[in-house]
Amino acid sequence: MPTPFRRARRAIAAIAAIAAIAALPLLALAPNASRAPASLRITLFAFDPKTLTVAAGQPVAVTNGDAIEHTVTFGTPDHQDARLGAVTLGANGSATFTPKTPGTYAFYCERHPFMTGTLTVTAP
Amino acid sequence: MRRILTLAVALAVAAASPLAASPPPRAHVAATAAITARTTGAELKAMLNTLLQEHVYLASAATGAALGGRTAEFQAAAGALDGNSQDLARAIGSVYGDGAGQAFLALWRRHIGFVVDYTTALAAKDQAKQTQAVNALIGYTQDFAAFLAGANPNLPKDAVADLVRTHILTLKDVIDAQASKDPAKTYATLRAAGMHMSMIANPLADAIVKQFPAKFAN
Repeated sequence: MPTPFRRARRAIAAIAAIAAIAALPLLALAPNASRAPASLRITLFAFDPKTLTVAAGQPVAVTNGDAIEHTVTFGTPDHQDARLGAVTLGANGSATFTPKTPGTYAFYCERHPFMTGTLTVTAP
Repeated sequence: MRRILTLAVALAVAAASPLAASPPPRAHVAATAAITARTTGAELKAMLNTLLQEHVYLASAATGAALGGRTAEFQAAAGALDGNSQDLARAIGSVYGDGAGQAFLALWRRHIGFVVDYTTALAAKDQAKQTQAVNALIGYTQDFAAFLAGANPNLPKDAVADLVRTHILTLKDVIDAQASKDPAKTYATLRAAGMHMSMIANPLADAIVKQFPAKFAN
């Protein structure tokens, strides 16, 4: 291969390496970019797991395995927790929410209040 | 009216007891409500028929006592009704696991709560609350059907919902007859409501055996 092309290839590779190294701090500033979504499943009118721990900014993917609508509503039937908005899942539906503030959040299904769970959000 | 509300609260309290707190006198019945390695398909069918018919008779005993203002009888009937609910949940849990058994119990108790609401509204001659309770019961049929259909693919949701709806309406007929103080009608509707439960018990048993053939290959 002619020398100018070889030099060009080396220059391109060097630029790519520098760009990748320069991007590392940016990746560190986006905490959920490297975090896989946590999974919360509804099966036979129960949350699975009943207790879930995620980092702030980590998405939670909720899957409804029942052929009926459920919600993930934060707080209790007597006192809803406004820190996190409720998520409604249609029959066999799915949704994702991303808690951003560390804390402990009780949750329940508004249609079936006997379905309960606890979400713990840790610092990022 | 106050007596009916007091009785309704008593039923709610009885319904709140955990699955593990079955009263000792029912221990021999509780032991048979669990499905074991030796349970046959025929025994499962007989068990579910017995438990579901018992549900109707105990529910009507409770509603009749409530409408008649017979407090001690109501409390006894409500306690027995909840024991029956726990037995049903135990049977379901022995097939589908403790989590499913507990979810079934919560769901089953929920519809009993709606029946209490209807009875209370009937005693108070509150048409709006009667309608609300009936609507809640009809809505419940979808929940219960979704639960069973989710547990067992051999149970189509719509078919189960229709059967449960008939259960709701036949039980309502009993309560209405009790409120009208018509004994002949009460017992005629009670027989119909009791006999209907085989329409739920038989396909439920058949579906479970089909889902777990090795479990019932005795």
